[in-house]
Amino acid sequence: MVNGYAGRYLDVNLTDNSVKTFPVDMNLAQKMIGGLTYGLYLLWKKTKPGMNPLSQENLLIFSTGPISGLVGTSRGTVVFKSPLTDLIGHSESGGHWSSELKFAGYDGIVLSGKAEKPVYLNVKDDHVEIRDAKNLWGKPTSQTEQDIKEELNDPFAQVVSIGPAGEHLCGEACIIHAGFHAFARTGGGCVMGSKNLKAIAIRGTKGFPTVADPEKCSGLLSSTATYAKSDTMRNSLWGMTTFGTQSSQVGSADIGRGIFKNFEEGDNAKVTQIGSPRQMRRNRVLDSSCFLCPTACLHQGVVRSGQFAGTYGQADWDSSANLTQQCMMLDPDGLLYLNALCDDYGIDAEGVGGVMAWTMECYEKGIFTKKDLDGLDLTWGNLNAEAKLLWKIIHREGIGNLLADGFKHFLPRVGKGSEKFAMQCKGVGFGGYQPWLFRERYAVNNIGGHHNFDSQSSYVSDSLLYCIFAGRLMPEGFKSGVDYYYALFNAVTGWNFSAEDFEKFGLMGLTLGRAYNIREGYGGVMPPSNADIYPEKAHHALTYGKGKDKEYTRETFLADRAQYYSSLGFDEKGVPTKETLKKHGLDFTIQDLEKTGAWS
Amino acid sequence: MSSPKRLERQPIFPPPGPWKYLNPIYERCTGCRLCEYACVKYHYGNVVNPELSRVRVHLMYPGPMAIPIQCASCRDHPCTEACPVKPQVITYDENKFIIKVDKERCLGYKCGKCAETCKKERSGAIHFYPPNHDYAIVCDQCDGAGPNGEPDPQCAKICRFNVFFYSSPAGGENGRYAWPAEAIAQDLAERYKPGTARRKVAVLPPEL
Repeated sequence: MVNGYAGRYLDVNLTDNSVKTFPVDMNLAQKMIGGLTYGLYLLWKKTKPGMNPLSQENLLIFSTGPISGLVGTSRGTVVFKSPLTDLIGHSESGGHWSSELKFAGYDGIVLSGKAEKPVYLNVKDDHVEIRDAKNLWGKPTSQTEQDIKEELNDPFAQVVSIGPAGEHLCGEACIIHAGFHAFARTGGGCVMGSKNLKAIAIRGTKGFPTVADPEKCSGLLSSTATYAKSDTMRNSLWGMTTFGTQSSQVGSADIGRGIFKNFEEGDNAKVTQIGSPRQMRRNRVLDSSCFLCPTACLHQGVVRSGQFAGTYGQADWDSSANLTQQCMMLDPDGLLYLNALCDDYGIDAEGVGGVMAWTMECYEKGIFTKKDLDGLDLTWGNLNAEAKLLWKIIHREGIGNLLADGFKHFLPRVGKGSEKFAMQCKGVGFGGYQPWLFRERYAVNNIGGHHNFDSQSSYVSDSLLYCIFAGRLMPEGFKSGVDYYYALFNAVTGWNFSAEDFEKFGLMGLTLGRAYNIREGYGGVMPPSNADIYPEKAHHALTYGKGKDKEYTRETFLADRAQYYSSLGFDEKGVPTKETLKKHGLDFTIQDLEKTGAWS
Repeated sequence: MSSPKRLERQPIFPPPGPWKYLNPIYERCTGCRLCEYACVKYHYGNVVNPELSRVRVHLMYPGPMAIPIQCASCRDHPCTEACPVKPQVITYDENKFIIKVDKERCLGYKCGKCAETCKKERSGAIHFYPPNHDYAIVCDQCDGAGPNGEPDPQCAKICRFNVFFYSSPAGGENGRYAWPAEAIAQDLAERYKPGTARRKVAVLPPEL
């Protein structure tokens, strides 16, 4: 038993139904720590280059870090090769599952192979079984979760599951936990669906593994939880507790970084209609938290009247932004409805929202006719048409069959210059911020146009696994949340990592992610050969309101990108140099990268 | 508001005489389970293991709606009547209004009569953690935590959302007193989504 780690991974092969475990290599853990980076290392070692993401060889690696499951750190990650980008794919989610997995005595689950018929995995401590999921197939995620809890007769089991979108192998499909916690982006649900795995139910009764310094660890945890009640922290957490991430809806438009009409504008006068204060007064019923987190940044609401009355959903910023204001759909009830549809049917709202906004622009420009869209009148802001399109994408009906594949796969088929305003990079749509604010970050990101994971700090947070939203949480006397997490990490593991060590570790993770992409043929996948590019529309100047004259020109972008490459020790093509790889101790990658001709 | 039928015997509420209890306001609970953490820390020291907690947060649908369940310290305490050991292992303290368990003499989960009765008649808040802690795990409202050795529930102290009120009932404020989690969830669901109790949470598709 090693401090903070449960000490083993569960290794499940769905093809031959074998269940094994393998120990965590502690020398390696000192270097890779856990979570994202450890998962990435496993993916590198256990898979061959150039595999099809939907083939049996692809792995789905659920992984936790040494401090997952404590105050403000209840997160875990899933790592796989993405069907959306054919590059590295990973996604993080909070909730109660990562702590439960630790309590069951595992640091993670590696899933391989493909089941013959729909199954789900039941993990209760040392008892692991693969059960028939015939009755669950086709059901929405929340229903699946209830049915599994009833079938197992265990109210404390934690379930992660896919919805119909994952079953239909939609590229944007995601994995959902507890109704609203999503492993979104890059298509984890699609990989899970390709393995015929409907859900994983986890129940652990062993408690958190031993820690190096129980006194100090416990002191940090309880003083953080108690300090959260103080006036200082109450003020500091107020925004998250009251509005959650949705406060960005109006806040972003106020500084012109909001996204409207497929990134056409950064501000809109009507944004207050869907902003969080109105949403709160109109729909809010409950606030909810992840395990041991006093922040409560998740807010659920119900639609009380109108055609969607009775819808129960949770709205978050980036998902809502792409589903609503991107498509100029400024109806608070519709916002909740579309979010609920995405969560229940297991599709990434952020990604699919971008696809729908692009489709609307295509319709406006005449690239898609009404006939192409199965009779949908997809004008800007048409809520009913948008909901129907979403339904079609989830079930791969008609035009949905094309759009469900994801930007990378359908753009070459559509053509007609539509890629110029497809706001995506490497096949993943942008998050909820304007490129002028995010500068080169969407383009250089290893997983595509996401608003996170482009810097070393993301790799640190997702490998130790702490939450950046709960980053304001800290015990009294600490300067910042990050200091608290680092202190907690050292108290739990007994290793003395300094801030510089974490910085170095983050750079290593970032470089490993990029090395994986190069190994999987990053260069030639999307035209032109270098994949770190923006579509033409990202460089246009905004014209309205607070966003007026904000512009991110191509020249600035190229300079920023060059700066980013050189600061990380990459060459001008974005490939890590041999010296950089050696500096980070990633010598094992050099041989594979040489085979791809990355340096020739 | 009427109790669900599954409670075979209605608890006396509010009981006559002086009495203090933990009154959870379920609508406020966010499901962070810090109460479980504080409970285990008080009773077992520096471990993190919610299974040992006297208060368990049930995550129910639609939601997840979080329902913290702990011993309601019923004035008529059916669990004590069910105890087969003489003298009883599980007893009611008339002065502090709490349930007390003699850990040494308790027969553990193999007996489980108190838990069975509680589950049948009240909220089902009693559980066991064999083999290390094989005795009835029941909320004692952190007896001895207060400055003069009086009960001082740590769950109420740590909760940032003030879910728990440790007080005498001022008058009928807890209509869901000593209910099981399923019944509370059903009741709250009716409140949030009239006509759709806990099963039908899936969003209906638009008419195509």
